[in-house]
Amino acid sequence: MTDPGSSSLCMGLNIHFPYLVETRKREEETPEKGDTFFSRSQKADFREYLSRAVLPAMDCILAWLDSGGSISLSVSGLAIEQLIGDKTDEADLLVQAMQHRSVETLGQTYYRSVAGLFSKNDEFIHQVSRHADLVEGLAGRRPQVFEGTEFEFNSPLTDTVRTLGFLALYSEGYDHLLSAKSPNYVYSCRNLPILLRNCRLSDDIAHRFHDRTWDRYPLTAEKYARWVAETPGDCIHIRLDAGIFSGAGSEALSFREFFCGLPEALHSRDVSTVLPSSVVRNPPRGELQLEDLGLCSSDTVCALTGIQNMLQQSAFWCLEDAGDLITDRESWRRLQSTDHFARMAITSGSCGRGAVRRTSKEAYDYFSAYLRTLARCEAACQTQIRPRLAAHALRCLPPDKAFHFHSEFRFTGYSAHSLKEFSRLLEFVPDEVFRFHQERGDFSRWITGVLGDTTLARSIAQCKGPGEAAHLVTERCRKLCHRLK
Amino acid sequence: MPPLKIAQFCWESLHATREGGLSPAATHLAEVLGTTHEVHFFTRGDGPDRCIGGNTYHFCQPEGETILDYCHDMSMKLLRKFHESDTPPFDIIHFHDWHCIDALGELRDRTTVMSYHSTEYGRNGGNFSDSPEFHAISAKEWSGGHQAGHVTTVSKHTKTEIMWLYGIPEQKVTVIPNGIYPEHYCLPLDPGPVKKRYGIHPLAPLVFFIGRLVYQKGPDLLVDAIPQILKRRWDVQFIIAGKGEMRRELEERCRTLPVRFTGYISDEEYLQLLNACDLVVIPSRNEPFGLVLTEAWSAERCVVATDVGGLSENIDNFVDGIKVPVRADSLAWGISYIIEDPVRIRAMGLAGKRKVLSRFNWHDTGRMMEQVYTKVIKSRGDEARRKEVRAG
Repeated sequence: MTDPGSSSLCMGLNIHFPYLVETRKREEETPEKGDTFFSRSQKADFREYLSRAVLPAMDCILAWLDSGGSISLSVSGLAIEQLIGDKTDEADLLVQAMQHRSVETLGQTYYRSVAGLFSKNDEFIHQVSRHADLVEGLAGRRPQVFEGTEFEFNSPLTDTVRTLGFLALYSEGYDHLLSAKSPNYVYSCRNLPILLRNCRLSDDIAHRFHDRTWDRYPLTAEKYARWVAETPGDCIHIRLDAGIFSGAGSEALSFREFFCGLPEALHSRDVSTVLPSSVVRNPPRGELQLEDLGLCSSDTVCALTGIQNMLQQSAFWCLEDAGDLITDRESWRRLQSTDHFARMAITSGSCGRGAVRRTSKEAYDYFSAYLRTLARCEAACQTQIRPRLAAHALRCLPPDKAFHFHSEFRFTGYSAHSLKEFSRLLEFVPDEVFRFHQERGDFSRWITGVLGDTTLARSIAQCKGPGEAAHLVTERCRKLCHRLK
Repeated sequence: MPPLKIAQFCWESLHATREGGLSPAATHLAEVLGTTHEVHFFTRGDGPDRCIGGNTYHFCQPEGETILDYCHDMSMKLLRKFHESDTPPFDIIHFHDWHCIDALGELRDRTTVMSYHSTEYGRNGGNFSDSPEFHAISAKEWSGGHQAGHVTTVSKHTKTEIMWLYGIPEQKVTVIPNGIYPEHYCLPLDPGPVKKRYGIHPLAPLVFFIGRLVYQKGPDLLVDAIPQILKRRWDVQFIIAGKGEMRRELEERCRTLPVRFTGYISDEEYLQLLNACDLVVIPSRNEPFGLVLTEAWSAERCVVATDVGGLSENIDNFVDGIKVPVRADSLAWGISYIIEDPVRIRAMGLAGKRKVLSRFNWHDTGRMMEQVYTKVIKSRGDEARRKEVRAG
């Protein structure tokens, strides 16, 4: 027997604007605190985002609500903070929408960050609570459903989410990764209900709506409502980034026409629009591990996360370690936004997010800029960190100061952007690569010249193989970290 | 169907001397047939004849200066072994590839089947050659196809190839693809430690080639594609596994490229690499079936392959793999295109696994082969009756 089509749809809109780092080099400037670490056009870019994306999106939401539909909002703390700071009309509109009885605001990390991947969960708890407090203050209701980021495919996280009082967690359901499971049912992970976004139907709107080469182009509200009604499941969860509401001329008009016509089209197919917290009551269809939803990384150190490439991995390690070296917590937290990591990948944006393709060079340039910013943040705080030597040796290094592993003929493909990463890479550096650098004295020269640790430099010069050196450096890192605490 | 007494002639098997993809194909077929029939497997190897997995293996150790002398000697030695076991007589005598064709010549009045797993033309990269060896082997393939009671090929492509190369009539040829045991190839492992063993960063995308380093398999096309791939994505790493005449030249060309040549690797190492890599590339110039394809799919790996032979027939383009023309720049395009999209890589690997489970299982292959045997026995019976009527 085949399952009947869905009778309900849960539409979600996502509003978020991160603080991106400045990609143009500006080493000549002295480190300062605060916003100067981030893009110099931040305010202007945010205003443009407001007028081009958020305003049309809010218009559509209000029309959606007027026609009796329900909608969930996912607004990051950073977006709310910038909106309110800007004292714009959009802020009032957003607060009004959040207070509407047919609107549910989802919980998330304040900075929409990768804090859920850190080895300790205190930072994650802090950011989730801060966001929930902010939403409660504005909407009068505390979020009940937590929304995971595209990096958080980590089952142990569900324990923390449940402890924080959430009823359920939202994650992403790619048809082809779920294999036999359907994203249109409630599942359970460690006793926490899991709701899955239907990535295919979300991307039909987010990616394919304007695509004239799509065999189902043009997409109309009636057509979409029919697909929803014919898709088996209890409830279809759709998520759309506000960014996809930006467009000009006839494109924007046709999108608006589609979106605003959707509630009526759904209604005519007997599909009701519902809120996530009401869907949670449906009985779970089975047990699910969050790891099965994402593409698990192939490294045990960072397993169970959505981190996909070497650049993201290096940046993540530097970011987590910087927690002990940056006293300017606000800047450190802004650097945790997932957007930074998405920009270090060649492709990003799926499951309702706008799709972006970058060249290898663009991804690498952003990575370099990110590490430069992190390094500048650390440098700006170095006077407050004791002992100075340990902080200097453990700091994050931008690519021009990193250790790039080579063999006689070629670059191995990986570089150490901190002493800790150096020890991790030494664990698998081939013997010939180790010999090549050791014979030239590269290791001790780099450790003395860049990290200023002459004790370690002397000892590493005596090492016979990469295993011995890895052990030595790991021990040294442990001691230096201990001194910092 | 009553149990048959079946003889299989193949110059390699999984239980003794093993060369390439022919040994698993022939051995697993014998195993699946052995569940309902009496199967004797005549092959190369040391030691006395013995029973393995319910089938009797008869071994010989051939000698000869050239490959042709060697195979002739093998055919004659196996033929002697065959006669020793021919009471009661075998119902079906099945030959795999050309190596034992001289035995087929001797047994041409019996009920025989010949399977083409490849052709000499295909092994030569889809080219003719003037070498005496090429002509001699082609002649053996020609005579085997004509003398055998029926012929099977592993793909439609090979069927067409032997029809135009050797003039084998279409009605005499049945296509029976190889099966696979997917569970033998899928390991639940963390790719990180495997990549680290080769000095590769756990998060660097790994492209894997396995096969003989000979012109037919196209490793040179992959090597030519690498600089173009690196232009688009600098962190891709490559492992080229296998041995062959092109290795030295290829290694020289890859000196400054992120490529590791492993030479021959054990089955265990092969499974580890297959399950640890991100992408399997099959750049063959000619591929009758492409066993690596079903092995990669069994391990849920995405495949970029050239649009030839069995690869062309079995891959649904952009669904469970990517097919490209036999050119280095096309190969570079295919690899660069898919390596940038980890979600689709995973999806194509899973789609491949589903296809393997539904279309390439040994049970079905065994049943198809049984039908061929029944058909050829029946047609010989009819022919014998016709002769009797004519004589009587």
